[in-house]
Amino acid sequence: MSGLKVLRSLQVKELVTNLYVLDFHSAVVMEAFSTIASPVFSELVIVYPDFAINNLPRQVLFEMLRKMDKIRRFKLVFLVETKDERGARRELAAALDSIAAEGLLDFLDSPPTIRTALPRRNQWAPLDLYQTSFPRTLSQSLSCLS
Amino acid sequence: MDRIFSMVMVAASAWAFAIVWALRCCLWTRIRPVNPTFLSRPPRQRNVPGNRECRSLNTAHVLNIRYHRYPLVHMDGSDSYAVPDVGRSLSTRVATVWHRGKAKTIHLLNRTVLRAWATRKSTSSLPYEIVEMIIAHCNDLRTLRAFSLVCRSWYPAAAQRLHHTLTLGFSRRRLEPLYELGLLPLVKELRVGQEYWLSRWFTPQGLTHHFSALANVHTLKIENLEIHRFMPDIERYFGHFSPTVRSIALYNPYCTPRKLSYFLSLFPNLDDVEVQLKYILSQDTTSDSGLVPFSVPKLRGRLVLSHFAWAETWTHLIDVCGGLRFRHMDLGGGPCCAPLLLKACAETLESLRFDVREGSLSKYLCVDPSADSNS
Repeated sequence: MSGLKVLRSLQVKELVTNLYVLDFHSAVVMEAFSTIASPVFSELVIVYPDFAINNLPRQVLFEMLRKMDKIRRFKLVFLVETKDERGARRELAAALDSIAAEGLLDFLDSPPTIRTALPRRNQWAPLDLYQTSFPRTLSQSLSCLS
Repeated sequence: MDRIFSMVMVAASAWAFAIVWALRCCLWTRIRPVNPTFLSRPPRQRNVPGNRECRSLNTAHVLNIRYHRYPLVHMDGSDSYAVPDVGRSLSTRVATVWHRGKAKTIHLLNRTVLRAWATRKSTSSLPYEIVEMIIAHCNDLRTLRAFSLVCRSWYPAAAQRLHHTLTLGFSRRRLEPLYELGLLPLVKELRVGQEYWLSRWFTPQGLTHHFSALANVHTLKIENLEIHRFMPDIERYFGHFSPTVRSIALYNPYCTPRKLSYFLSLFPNLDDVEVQLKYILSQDTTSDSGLVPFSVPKLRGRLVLSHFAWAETWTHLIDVCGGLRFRHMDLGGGPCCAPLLLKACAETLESLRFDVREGSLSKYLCVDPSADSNS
């Protein structure tokens, strides 16, 4: 990734889905992150399935993020793939508040950002053929913008 | 004799009175009282207490106002409500008849103007742009159907939204009624779903003349597309999509890697590409040599790959386009393509998404493309 000159965002999928291999996945992310040479890089996005919100790993994940922050400053973003946008935001915000209370996020310049996106349905509808592609409601769009 | 004459006269008078009364009743029912000042009032002032037929703004309701409960404007300009005939003075009656006749005359003269006025007031209370913005944020089909039935000015905005996406499941049956109604040009996104274990209908034989009416499609999503069956006249079947299509998603296409790039080159304005290659049931063994690309697609948007390992597709496209310019990339699978794609999009790639479960992907992500090219 050292050749990418305008890379702004690195998005990592399935990092926290399987906690048993989180150490290995963290090493993969750390290795990829350390090769970023883009001068405009600004954010690390952790893509989250909504069922994993309550199982947010604390020590391993945030220790890894702390090490990554020492390599390069970044803005932390959690992207939750869910249909229940409000519920997911509320739950993740509560989880992050408790983590921040423990001091695990004190290395970040700004609090983590929470974004949401619609998930793919399942492997039998891989292209979302039967899912509406209409944009979300106005309030949802505005909340995403804010 | 005088007695008989007087009786005849009384009878004749009675008959004459009855006829006059009947004519009067007919006249009152035909010429319904409409006050010209009443028509020009704002809607809320039109409502007369106790009169159920004065609630609407519609012209037809205005004309159906009962005579015994309508507002009168006297000659001196003072307002009052008309009351039944009992006990009314002659001047009131004269004023009533005067205003009724005047109102009826104005109504007959300005019927078209009134109708246009009533229509305009009821439908254009909001600017069309505002209506369009409101409807554009509606994602419920039931609500959109209701919007389309509100009035003529709401219909175009709602119909565009309602027919934005056309999903053809197991056949093209849904296409024919839309074609008959002339709604196919409204379709912006076409999704073709066909299962691999069933007979596939999206073939050259299955593409009827209805598809030519899909002239404004900007997103194509096709499942199990057998590209090799459209060769070599693929432009004949997909050519009308070429100017407008900006996004393509293919799930499990049946073709060779080079034929896929040949198919993508059919769309010069193509920005977003999504290819998922979960399984290969039958390998395309037909020849793909000598395929000259149709155009140089832009490819400046998003690339999403899943289990896609055909590096030759991208090699061919890079040769055709002189490089790729994707700004967003999701490499969910197919790690062997990663170094090639990252190198091709090194100048433009702004966001990269990868799946950490692909262990070998990290190896490719950490490769220095310049070192790779030198070697």
